[in-house]
Amino acid sequence: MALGIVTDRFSFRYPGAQKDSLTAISLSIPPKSRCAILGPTSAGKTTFLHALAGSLGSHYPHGSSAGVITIGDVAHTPLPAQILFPTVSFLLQDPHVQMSGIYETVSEELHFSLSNAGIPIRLHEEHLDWVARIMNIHHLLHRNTSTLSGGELQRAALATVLVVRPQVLLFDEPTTSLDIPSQHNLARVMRAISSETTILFTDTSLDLAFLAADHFCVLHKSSLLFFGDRAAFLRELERFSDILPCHNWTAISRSIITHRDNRNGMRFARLLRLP
Amino acid sequence: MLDVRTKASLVVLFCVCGFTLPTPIQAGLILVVVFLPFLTSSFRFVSGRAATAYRKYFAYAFTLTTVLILLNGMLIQNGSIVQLPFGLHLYESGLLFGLRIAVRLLLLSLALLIFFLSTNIRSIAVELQRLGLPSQVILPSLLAFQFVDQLPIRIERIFAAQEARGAPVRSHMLKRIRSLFTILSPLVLESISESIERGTALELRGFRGTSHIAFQPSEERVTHPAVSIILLSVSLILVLWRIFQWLLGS
Amino acid sequence: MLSILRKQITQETSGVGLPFIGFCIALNLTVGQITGGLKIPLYLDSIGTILVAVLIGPWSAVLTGSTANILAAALGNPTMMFFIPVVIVIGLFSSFVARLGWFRRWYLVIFGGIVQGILAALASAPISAYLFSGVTLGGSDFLVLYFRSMGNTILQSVFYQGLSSDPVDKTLSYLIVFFLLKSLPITLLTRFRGAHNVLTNHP
Repeated sequence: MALGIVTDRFSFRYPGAQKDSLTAISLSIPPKSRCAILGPTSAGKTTFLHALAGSLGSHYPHGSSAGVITIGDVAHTPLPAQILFPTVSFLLQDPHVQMSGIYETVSEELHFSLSNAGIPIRLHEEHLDWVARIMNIHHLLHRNTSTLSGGELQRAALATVLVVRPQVLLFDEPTTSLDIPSQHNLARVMRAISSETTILFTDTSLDLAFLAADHFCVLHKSSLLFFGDRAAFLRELERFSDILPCHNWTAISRSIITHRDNRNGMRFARLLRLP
Repeated sequence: MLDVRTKASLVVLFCVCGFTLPTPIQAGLILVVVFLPFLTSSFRFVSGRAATAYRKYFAYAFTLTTVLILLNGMLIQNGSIVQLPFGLHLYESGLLFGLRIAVRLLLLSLALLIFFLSTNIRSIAVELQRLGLPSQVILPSLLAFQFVDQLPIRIERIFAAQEARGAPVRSHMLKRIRSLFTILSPLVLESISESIERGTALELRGFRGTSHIAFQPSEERVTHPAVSIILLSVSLILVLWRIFQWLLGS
Repeated sequence: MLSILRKQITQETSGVGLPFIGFCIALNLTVGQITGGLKIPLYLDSIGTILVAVLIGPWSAVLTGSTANILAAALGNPTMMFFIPVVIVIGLFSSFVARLGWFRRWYLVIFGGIVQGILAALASAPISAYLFSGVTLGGSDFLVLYFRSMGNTILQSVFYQGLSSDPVDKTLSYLIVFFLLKSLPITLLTRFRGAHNVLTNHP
């Protein structure tokens, strides 16, 4: 069951810091949505994800915070104090740190996540099959984690948090080590799981957001500039042209066309041989 | 094929012998220990690197014990004199004292060395967890090895960067000490933040200090509980016997 | 005993987790190997232990030091294992010094390092004398030799030799840790339970 996320005037300041890292963030992400959190570096995107995952509250008990974060129907004032795994799963930016380093194969890492989530051993195989099918990583399961390439490692890392079938999936800058075909692949995975998982991911550019997201949120200098669905975002896209770069204009133009006229957009996409 | 527990019991017995038995028996045991890795498959080195480490330590220990015996022969000036060429002379009781220490040192260190060089750290970890050691002890040791493998690569990278910037990394001693600090600082800061990030990742995957590390059974576990018990009882008897002797003597 | 260990270390590492301890163990081992390879008369192989002692706490520091000395055997240096009592002394004393707030001022760090050196010399002398009769194939052998030829016992000679080298080594280690902590970003530092041991004004 995917959960919705509502934040009401949520603010946070790290202990000892001079100014807020997040200022009065109010937004409402419906369940089953794929929300892109966009903004330049040090806009507060990662801090926001840590707040939702519960790691911000547990790591910085002396930080000053205000507002309310509601996940599903549980209201945390101001933010979750404990890590909410496996309800909320969080994949950090660097896939290298995601592997525990105490196991050899990818499947052992997946079993580790499952045991931590308290899932009984008899159900492990079922979860493994599900994640391997949905991410198409059957061939990676028995590989040694130290021999994986960058893209493979990224997928294995995603599998370690996805395998528990979380209700909310947080994903910090997934595109840093992904090329364009892998981004398409990731967008496909996100669409496939969004019926049971609400997905939030951060990015500094628009590419993956246009491929995968249906809700958009723009953070700049720790405040919220915009939150809304795809149509609203496309209407106001020009406002963010100087803070959000895009590397793959064909995808953007396709999604604009798809938005205006779905049938024509698909034809245009086929002409451009877009996947 | 001996399991980890039996091997550990054997090493414990060797170490106890190092503290309790007379020197000639210990010398005999050294011979056994030295050739164990080549005689049984249980004590075969886990990697080529382990075999190199063994050879290096063996050369070091041989030099060390030779120097140790000679120095004590020179300094403890009791008993009859042993004449050496070039007008040097050593004292017999000093030589014997040195020999006793050298044999004990060799037996203890070689027994420990062959255990650690012939056993996979992972299987030691599995065994320790079975004995009830908390994951707070086991997980850092497993991770330490990963870091130890990575650190030299990083150091080499930083060394190269420093050298490219003209830092005298391969010059005389004072400069080498200084270059050590210029390496340490960026390396340590980078690694500290990475290790904390790893800690966060583990927590975000639901790992708590109280969690049990789930190991997949890699191979069929063969145990010889009786052998372990016998080895450990012999060790205990030796220790008790030594204490008894010591009480009688004093 | 094991459950106390479990509880204490869980409490001490809350906020940063266990990989930091793993890294500090590796730091001990690697720096030990480098100083050995550079052929300089310093060990500096307890920097990791001291870091953990200051930032995390005594139990974790003892764990770091002793695990590093055990694992050194797997890297081909089994004699480190005999010196585990010394690293326990180092771990306990460093965290005591840190709790007194000595890691906030450089002159207190130097003073703490000297005292630590004396304690380390005291703890290692009996082991070194009994197992090695003071011979380690290092440059310090000549000092032991000198003291012994002056008519001192082996234990005394090894202790005097330790007094001549350990305070320098430990003071240097303390200073390195002090400067490392100074250059650690504040957001990272405040994650540690022992942050108040280093910061002058911390809640």
